[in-house]
Amino acid sequence: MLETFFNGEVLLRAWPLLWEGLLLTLQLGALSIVLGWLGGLALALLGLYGPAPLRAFVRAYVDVFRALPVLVLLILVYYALPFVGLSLSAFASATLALAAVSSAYTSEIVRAGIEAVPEGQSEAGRVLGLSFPQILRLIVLPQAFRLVIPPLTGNSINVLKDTALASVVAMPDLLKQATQAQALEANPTPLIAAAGLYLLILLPLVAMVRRLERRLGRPS
Amino acid sequence: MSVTFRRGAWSLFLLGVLIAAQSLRAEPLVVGANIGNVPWEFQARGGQYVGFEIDLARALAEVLGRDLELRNIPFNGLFAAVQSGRIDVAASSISVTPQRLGQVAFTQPFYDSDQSLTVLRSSPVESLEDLKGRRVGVDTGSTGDIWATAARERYGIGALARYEGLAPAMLDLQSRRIDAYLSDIPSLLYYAKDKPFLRIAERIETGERYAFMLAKDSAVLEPLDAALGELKRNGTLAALHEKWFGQAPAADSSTVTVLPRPQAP
Repeated sequence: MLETFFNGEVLLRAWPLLWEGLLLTLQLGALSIVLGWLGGLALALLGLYGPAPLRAFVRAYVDVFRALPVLVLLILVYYALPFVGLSLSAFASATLALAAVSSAYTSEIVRAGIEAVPEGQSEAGRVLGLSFPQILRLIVLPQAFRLVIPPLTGNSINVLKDTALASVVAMPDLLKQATQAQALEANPTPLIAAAGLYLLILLPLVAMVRRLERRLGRPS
Repeated sequence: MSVTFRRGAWSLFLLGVLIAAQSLRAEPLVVGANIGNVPWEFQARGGQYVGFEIDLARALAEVLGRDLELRNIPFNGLFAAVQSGRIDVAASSISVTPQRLGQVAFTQPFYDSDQSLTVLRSSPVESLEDLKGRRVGVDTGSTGDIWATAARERYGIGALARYEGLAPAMLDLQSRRIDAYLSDIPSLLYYAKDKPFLRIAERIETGERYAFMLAKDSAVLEPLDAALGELKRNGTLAALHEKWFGQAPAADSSTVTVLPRPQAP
C-alpha cells in the first residue's frame, strides 16, 4: 500500500517534472488572476458609469462568461479558433479562458463593493468640488476595495485551482506533469504529490481569506 | 401453516438462490481501455466499442466463462486503475517495459510493434533528422513519450507536447501547433489509411511488444495468460490479425507464438 501510493524513489525521480509543472501552474495562475482583476475592474466601472450600450454589453458579457464552464471555453479557444485562423499556444489559450471568466466574476464583486459605499460619500465629494474621477479614486474605490478583498481572494483561489484544466490542451502544468510521471512510472505517487503541492499553495490562501473575512467583517 | 403459504415461501427461497447464483456467475471481467486508440479499441459509428483488443478481450472472457465489462479510461490513467483494482485488466496496445514490470504485471505479449513519425503530407520533415527545432507531439507517458524524451537532445527536438491520445494530437498537427506526431505504428497506419493529408515519414524500430496489463497480485493473471496462449494455439489471434490488419501475422511473431509471461527484472 505505502509502496504503491507513497513511493519515495518514484517521488524522487518524478520531482523535476513536478517542479516544472508547479512553476508553470503558478505563472499561469498569477497572470490569469492579475488580468482577471484588471478586466473585472474595467468591466465594473463601464457597467456602472459607462454609456447605455456599453452597460448592456457588460451585462451580457458577465452573464455569458459566468454561465460558460471554463473547460468548455478553453476547448473552444484552443481547438475551434484555429479554424478561423487564430491559433493560440496552450499557455495563451489557457490564460485567455481563465482571465475571461475570472474578469466576469471580478466585475460582479467590484460592482457590489462600489454599490455598498453609501451614496452620501460621493455626494460629500461633489459638495467639496471634486471631479468624478477624483471622487472615484479618492473616496469610492478605496472603501470599495476594503470590502471586496475577501471575495476577490476567494475568486483568485478558484482561478488558481482552475489552472489544472489547462492540462487538457497539452500544457505541462502541475496536473499534466503529475499524470505523465504517473504513467511513466506506472505508479500513482506523483499524483498524490501533486495534490499535496496544490494544498501547500492553496491552504494558506484559504486560511487568509478566513482571517480577512473575520477582520474586515467586524464593524470598525 | 397452510400449504399455499409453504409453497409461496419455498418459491421465494428458490428465487433468492437463483438470483444469488446469477449474480455470482455474472461477476464480470472488467477491462479498461483508452477508447479512440485505433484499431485496438475505438467507437464505431453506432457508438459501440470495437477493435482488435475488444474482440480479443471478448474471446478471452468467453474462455474464462465470464461476462465482459468495458470501461473507457485515458491511457495514462490505466496504470492507477489496475493498481487500485478499479479494473481487472488494461488493454490499450500497452508495451511491456522493464520500468512498468516493476509496478504492474503483464500477460504474455501478443503483438510486435514499433514507433512511427507522422507528419502532414505537405511537411518538409522526411525523417527524424529533420526534427531539429521542431515541435513533436506524443501521448502522455507512452513508450513514444519515453523514446522521444530520451532522443530529444540527439535530434535537437524543439519541444515535446503531450496529449491524451490520437484525436487531440491530430487536431494540433492540422492546426500546425506541432510539426510531427510520434506514436505506435499500427495505430497510425490504420488511422492514415483513409486520410491522404497524412504521411508516415519514418518507422522507428523499438522492438516493442503489446500485452494486457494487470495488478501484480491479480488472481486473473494466470488464467488470463493461459487463455491467451490457448487463443494463439487455436488460431483465434491469427484470425483477428487478418480481420484488423488485412494480412496474416508473421509466422515467428508474438501474435502466434506462445510465450512465457514477462517477469520483473
